[in-house]
Amino acid sequence: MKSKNGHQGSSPCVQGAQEAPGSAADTPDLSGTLLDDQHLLTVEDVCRVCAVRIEYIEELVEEGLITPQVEQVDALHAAKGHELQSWRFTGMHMRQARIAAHLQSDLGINLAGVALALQLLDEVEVLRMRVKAIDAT
Amino acid sequence: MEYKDYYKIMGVARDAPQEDIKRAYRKLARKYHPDVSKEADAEARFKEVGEAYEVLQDPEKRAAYDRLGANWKANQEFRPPPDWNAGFEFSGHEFSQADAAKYSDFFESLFGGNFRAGFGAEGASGGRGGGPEGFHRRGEDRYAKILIGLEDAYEGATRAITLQIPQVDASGHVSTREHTLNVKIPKGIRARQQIRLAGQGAPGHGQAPAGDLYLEIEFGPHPYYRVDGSDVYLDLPVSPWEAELGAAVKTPTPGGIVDLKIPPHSTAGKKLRLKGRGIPGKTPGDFFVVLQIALPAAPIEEDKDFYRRMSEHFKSFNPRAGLGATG
Repeated sequence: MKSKNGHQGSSPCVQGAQEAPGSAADTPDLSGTLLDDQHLLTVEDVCRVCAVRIEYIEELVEEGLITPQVEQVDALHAAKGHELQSWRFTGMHMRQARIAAHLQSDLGINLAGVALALQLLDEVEVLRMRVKAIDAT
Repeated sequence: MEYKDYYKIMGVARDAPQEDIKRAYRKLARKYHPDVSKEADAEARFKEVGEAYEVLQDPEKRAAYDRLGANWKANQEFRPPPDWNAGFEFSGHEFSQADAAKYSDFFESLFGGNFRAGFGAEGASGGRGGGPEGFHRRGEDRYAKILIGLEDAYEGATRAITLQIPQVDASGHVSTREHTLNVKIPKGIRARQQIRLAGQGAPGHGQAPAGDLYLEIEFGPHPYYRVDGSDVYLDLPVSPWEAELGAAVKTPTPGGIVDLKIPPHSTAGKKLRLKGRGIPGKTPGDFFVVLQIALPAAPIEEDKDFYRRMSEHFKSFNPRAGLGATG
């Protein structure tokens, strides 16, 4: 399922991930990197996780779906006009980009539609939380 | 292996025109998309619908599928007839490891694996479409969502995560293998944040390194806490006299039991904040207690008498005064 927007069809999502209680005895404990607001990612990182081309991330930034921080780059890169290389993304940006790529290729909606869907999803999330609070009382 | 009725899955007639199939797909995809839907089995349904669409939207695959006949029932034990695909030329679509995870055994037996020369061996030998000799490519990143308990974010924890990893062997047969990892959940993690495990993604091709594995955190539903970002909420029942007279009550928090002061004249819905008792971190969240007034039941006559005496005593109290209903 290839599509125009650059999402390369095959989702890297691991299906059927399950959390089991406790820990397996025979495998070592792995410490990963927590992608909090302090841990920033390059545009290449984001492209790889989302399985999209760099142009797609550019589109998302142009549309205002995600707003990366801009890091100072050295004169050589700046001179070459590598603006993309100075972009730094948070894990939340990456998550947003990944959902956007999925929605676009799976549901056949354009970027503006994706932006609207993401905004509405956030609102729904807030409302669900309120409903939960009301149901509890 | 079970037969899959793709027409039934899509909710369309066997003779439905291509436009109807596309419409049905879009509708179901919107309903069950895992990034949108909150249906319990959304992911499984979305996968099923995607597979059905993959076959029915492609006239070649659809014709081949139709040739199996209409007499099969969904979930019936299925074995493809030996020459079922004779006379069909399948074009396009490479079959990758990622696809293997996407499709059922039924699909794979018909359209994947050894179906075409140079089709199934791809995953084992590496390189999409067969790269040049000595081709090196970094493995794909993988991404999975995991459910953890809220307490894990307070204390930190180690959790065993089981992933289904698709693999293609040298003969092109696709299967999934379980891979269990013990992952440290750092203290202070929040919902939607990701943990990156370097080198735990798909293996690299040639000399290239493996990809990374990203785990996105979600909190499992808790019987009495609610989480909003780094803040945690609890509905706390108090008695009418505790609310009116004030009291010190024991309150559970994910970090342990604390003594909470209920100020006098508290009403239902009053929010009490325990600063910094939310999810820990550089800027820890807050813990909010929302008061509920619980009334004692009055099953016996003496209890009822007590309520009657209260009614007598608080004669002028009208809880509906604010609604303009007097008397």
